[in-house]
Amino acid sequence: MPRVSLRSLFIAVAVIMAGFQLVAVTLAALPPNRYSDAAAPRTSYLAPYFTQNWRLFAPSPVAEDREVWFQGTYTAADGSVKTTAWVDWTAVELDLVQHRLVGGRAGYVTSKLYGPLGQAYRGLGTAERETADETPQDSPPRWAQLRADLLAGGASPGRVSTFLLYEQATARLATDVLLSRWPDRELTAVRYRLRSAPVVPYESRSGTAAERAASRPEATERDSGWRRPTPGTAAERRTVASFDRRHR
Amino acid sequence: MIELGHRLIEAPRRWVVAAEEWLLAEPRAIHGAALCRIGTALSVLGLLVANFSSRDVWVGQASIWAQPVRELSQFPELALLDGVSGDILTAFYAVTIAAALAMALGWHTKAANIVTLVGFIAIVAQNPVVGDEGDNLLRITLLWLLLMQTADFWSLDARRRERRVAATDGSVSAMRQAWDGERVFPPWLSAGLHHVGLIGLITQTILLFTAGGLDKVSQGVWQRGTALYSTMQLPEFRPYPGLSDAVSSSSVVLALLTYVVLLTQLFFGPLLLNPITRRIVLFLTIAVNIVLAVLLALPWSSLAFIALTGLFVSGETYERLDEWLRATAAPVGDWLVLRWYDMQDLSAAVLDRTLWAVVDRVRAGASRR
Repeated sequence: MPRVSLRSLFIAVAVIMAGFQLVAVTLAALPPNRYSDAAAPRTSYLAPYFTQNWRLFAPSPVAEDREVWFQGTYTAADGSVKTTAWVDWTAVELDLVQHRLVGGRAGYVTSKLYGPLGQAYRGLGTAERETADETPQDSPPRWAQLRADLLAGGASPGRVSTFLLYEQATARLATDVLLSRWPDRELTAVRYRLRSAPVVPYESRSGTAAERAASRPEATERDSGWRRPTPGTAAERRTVASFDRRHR
Repeated sequence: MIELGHRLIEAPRRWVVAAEEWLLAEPRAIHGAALCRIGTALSVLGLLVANFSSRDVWVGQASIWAQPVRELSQFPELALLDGVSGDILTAFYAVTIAAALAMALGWHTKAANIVTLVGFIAIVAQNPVVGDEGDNLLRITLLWLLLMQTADFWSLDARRRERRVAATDGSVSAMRQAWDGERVFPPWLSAGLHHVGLIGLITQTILLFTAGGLDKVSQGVWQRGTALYSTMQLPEFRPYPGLSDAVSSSSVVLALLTYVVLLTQLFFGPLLLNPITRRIVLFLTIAVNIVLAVLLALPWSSLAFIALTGLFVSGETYERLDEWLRATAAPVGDWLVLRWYDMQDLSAAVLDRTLWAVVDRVRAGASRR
């Protein structure tokens, strides 16, 4: 009976595939261990669509506020070089989240990218970090020049590329944001500041607002070197400016 | 000995029969599948609608910060929206919203499920930085739901099917049936595919909870009991600072929440095995998701989790719930229809005295001339 054989075939295929999938997902979903690592080549078919995030509900949550600020240098009408005020871009983004049950995802982009930005920087050697930090304010190097300077010290090309990828994206966002705040100023350099402030310690959580604020450990800051202004497309600048106007 | 040998030879045959009886029988958990379809689609819909006004910064032409991650990512996601203009993104976004709405309503469910899956992956993949485990879960659920019969209840497809069965002899082309979300495969194959999808989805859900729980208990912050406290202090996870502070200042509430999160995740699978513990763990999982949705402003991922939890509720419970809802909603529905008629009468009366009176006067004046 062809119908019966079709059914048997379906059952055989379904049982074998379901069994394999069960084992594969189990190995891939559990926290990494030597057995799941050994089976990785055979469970790689799960990526991307069956991949599941085993780190559910913040297993190891961040315990500090993370902020990204931008500042620019411009030439004033009298020819003098001036710097703009610092712009707290994280605060602008957070307007999408605060006091809203249904917030927007654009509300925490900088806080999520804070980590990779710092990691890419720490991936450089001490000498390269100095090179990246001490770029001149009056004439920041072109991106190709900065890459050459970083590689001259013998840094790993892969790490330099990753660092520059994040630096360029940050410089572009900084330029778009600063042009949104001061469209008439001709920017000559931009930089960012990363600021992290540990949250109120658990033991101090019941104090008054002033006591809790006083109990917070001191914030740490890092200012980047000066970078060439890197404006995005006109549409991108308009979008950033519109977002800035609505949420600042 | 001969008996044992005979039983050993017969064993594979019995397994095949048992597998056939389970896999190809009448589809199970179709109420749960329908609720899961509605909840999952509403979760996608809510996420997309909530982010519509800032879509260009989230995933569009101004998602500048996501670019390095996109370039470095080894994740071969659908890249339909790479470098597209704002107008194309808006059109794609709108189509995905419409598909998610259609899926929630059960209107051409399978087609809507496919468009929602592809659209959701393409949009979310544009900014992997701000994705969360809810996205991951939605993708897995949308994929497995494709195999399942999710439109047998609470769907426009089911209503259409009922009407067609009542009105025609059922001689409709297979293509038309497929488009209308009706079954085109033989019943045994539809049931088999449904059960494969059900097993896949249930397995991944249980593993997700177990692995999440295992990972947490191995972390120092969870062992010390400060993990939820730290999360509630971060600006992006405290939409209502007063509420977060009120919860985090109470050791009892924090301890209770921490234990419920850990226990429901670690023991989710085993507790499903007994009807009473199943009800307890499902109730606690839904409750903790609602609390975290409000406390941490994560409504859409929480809804995705709650929708999945619905798969584990029995058909009898759903039938009782359905009956109760229909009985409760019927008077409300009748009242609403009556008020709708009242509104129509009222607006007709107002129009008779205002607009139509003026129109009649003008027409009368014109005809006199």
